[in-house]
Amino acid sequence: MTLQLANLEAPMLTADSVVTDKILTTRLHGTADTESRPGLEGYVSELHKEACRLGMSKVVVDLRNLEFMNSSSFKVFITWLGQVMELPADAQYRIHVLSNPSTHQWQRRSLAALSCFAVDLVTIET
Amino acid sequence: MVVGAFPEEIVSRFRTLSLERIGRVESVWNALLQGVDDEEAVRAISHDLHTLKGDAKIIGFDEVHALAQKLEELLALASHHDYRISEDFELVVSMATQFASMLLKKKSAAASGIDLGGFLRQVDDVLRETRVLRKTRPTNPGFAPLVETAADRLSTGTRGRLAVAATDAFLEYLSARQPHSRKRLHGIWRSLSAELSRLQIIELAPLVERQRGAAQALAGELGKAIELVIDVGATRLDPRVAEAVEMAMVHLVRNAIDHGIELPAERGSKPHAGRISIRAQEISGYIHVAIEDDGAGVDLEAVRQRAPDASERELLDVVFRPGFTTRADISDVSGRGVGLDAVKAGLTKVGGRVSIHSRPGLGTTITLVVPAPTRQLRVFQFLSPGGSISLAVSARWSPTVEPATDAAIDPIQILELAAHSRQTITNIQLPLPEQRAVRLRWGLLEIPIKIATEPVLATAERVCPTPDEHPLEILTIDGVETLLLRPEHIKP
Repeated sequence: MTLQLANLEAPMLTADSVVTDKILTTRLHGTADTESRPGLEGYVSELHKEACRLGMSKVVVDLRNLEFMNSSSFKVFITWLGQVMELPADAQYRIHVLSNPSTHQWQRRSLAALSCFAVDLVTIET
Repeated sequence: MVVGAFPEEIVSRFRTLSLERIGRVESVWNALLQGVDDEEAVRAISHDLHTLKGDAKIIGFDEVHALAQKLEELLALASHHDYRISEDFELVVSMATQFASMLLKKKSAAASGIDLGGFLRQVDDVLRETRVLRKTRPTNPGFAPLVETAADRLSTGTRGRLAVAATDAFLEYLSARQPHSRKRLHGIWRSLSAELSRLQIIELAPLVERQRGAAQALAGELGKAIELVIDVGATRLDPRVAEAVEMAMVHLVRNAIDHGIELPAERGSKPHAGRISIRAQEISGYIHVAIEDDGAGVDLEAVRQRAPDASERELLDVVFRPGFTTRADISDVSGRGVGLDAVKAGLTKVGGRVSIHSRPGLGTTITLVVPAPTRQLRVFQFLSPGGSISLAVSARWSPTVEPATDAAIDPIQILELAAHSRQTITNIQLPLPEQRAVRLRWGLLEIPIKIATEPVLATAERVCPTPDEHPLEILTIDGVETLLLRPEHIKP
C-alpha cells in the first residue's frame, strides 16, 4: 500500500510526508498561523487517516524547520493526539516529534505540554 | 462511615453535564480571544467552572476538580489582562479544556497516559509569568479570586501522604542507634505531626463566608435581592466532611436563590430582600448545618407532577432522587447541576445525611447532619516482643492471648525495625511469659501477632491519621507514642 497524502501548500506553510517501513515521517516548513490553520487541519486529518490505513507504528513529525506555530494551529495537534488516544490500543501509533527549541522558542512550552498529554504515545527529540 | 462509589447514573449524568460545560467554556473562551466582549457569557462560564469544580469534587473526579480550579485561575487572570495574553497562555487554556474532556470520559489520568502533574506545573509556570505582567485592574466580577490555595484546601490525599511520611520518620527514629540521630528524627516526627494535627480540623466559618460573593452575584443576575445570614460559631469539621459540606452548600445556596427566593415584586408582605441563613451547631456528636430560606417553599404541585408515584409523606424526599428537577427548561442556574441526589450521595459518603422541611410561601430548610470531628480511637494496646515498642490495634478486633507459634507475625520483623529499636514506655506494665501471641479476629479475618504484654483496652489520640488502607499510624495513649497496626493491610 502506498501513501496517499497530498503535500500541504498553505500560505507560509508547507508540509510533505514519506513512508519508510512502518514509519510515516512528515516535515513542516514555514509558519503555522491562523491563516494556514484550515489547511493544516485538513492535512493532519488526512495524515491520521493514512497512518491508520497503513497500520503505521510511528509517525515522525519534523518541526525543526517550522519557524513558528500559534496556539490556534497547535490545537490541531492536540485534537489529533486526542484522536490517536481514542483508537483501540492495538491500532494506536506513537508520535515522535523532532524539535529545535534552542532556535525556536515557541517549541519549549508547547511541546513540553503536548508530551504531558500522552506520555505513552508522544516523545520529543530536541 | 459509609464509603462507596456513586451510582453509575449519577456519574454518567455528571460526565454529560460536565462535558457540556467544558464545551461552553471553550466556545466562550474562543469568542473572548476574538474580541467578543460578553459579560453575561463570562459570568455563565464562571458558573460552569465553579459548578464543574464542585461536582467533580463530590463525584470523586479529583483530577477534573484540579483542572477546573486551574481554569478558573487562568480565566480570571486573562480577564485582568483584557484577554491580551501570550500564545503559551492560550495554549495551556486550550489544553486544559482538552485534558478535562478526556478525563471526564476516562476518569483516571494515569490510566489515560496523561501526565497531569506535569501539565499543571506548566500551567503554574504560565500563571507565574503572566502575574509578573499583571495590570492593576479590578477582577471581572464573574470570576472567583485568583488564588484560593490555603492550608485548609490541602486535599485529603495530600494530607494522607504527609501523614505516611511522618509515620516513616517515626519508624526511622525507632530504629536509630545514635542518641543525636534519635533526637533529630524524633524532632522531625514531632514537627511533622504537629503540623498535620493543625490540618486535621477545618473551620466551617471561612467555608461558609466564601458563599457570599457568589450568592450575591447570582442573586443580582436573577434580579433578586438577598441577605445572607451566617451563624456557624466555631464549628469545626473533619477535612473530608468539610469538603462534602462545602460542596453541598454551594448547591443548596444556589438552589435557594434560584428556586426559593422570589423576585422582590412577588414577595408580598415579606421583606424586599430574601433571607438565607446558614447556621450550625453540634448535637450529640453530630454537626447540624441548616440552610434556611424565607422563599416560596418547594413547589409540591410541580414535584407531584414529576413523581406521581410518591406518597404525601415521600413527596419532599423526591427532590433527592437522581435527576430530579422541577424546572421544565434547562437554561437555569441550578436546574442543570448534578442535583440534590449527588449532594445527598456526597454526604452519605462521609457518614452524613440530609433532610428537607418546607412550608408553602414561608420557605425551606435543608439540614445537613454530619459526624463531628473526633480524634479519639478505641484500641487494644500491647508491647512488641521484647517489650520495647508500644503497639495497638483497633478495638474492632477481638483479641485472644495464646501460645505463640511460627505462624504468628513478629511486628518487629514485619516493620523491618532493628533489634535495638526501643522507646520509653510508662503506661503498660503487664508482662506475659515469653513466646505469647494475640490472635486477632475481625469478621472472617484471623491474624496472630507476637506480643510481650496482655492487650489492654485504651483510648488513643489520632495525632497523625494515615489513610485507612495504610498498614500503620502513630497514636498517643496517655502521652506514649504508639504504633497502630492495621493487620489486614500488613503483608508478611
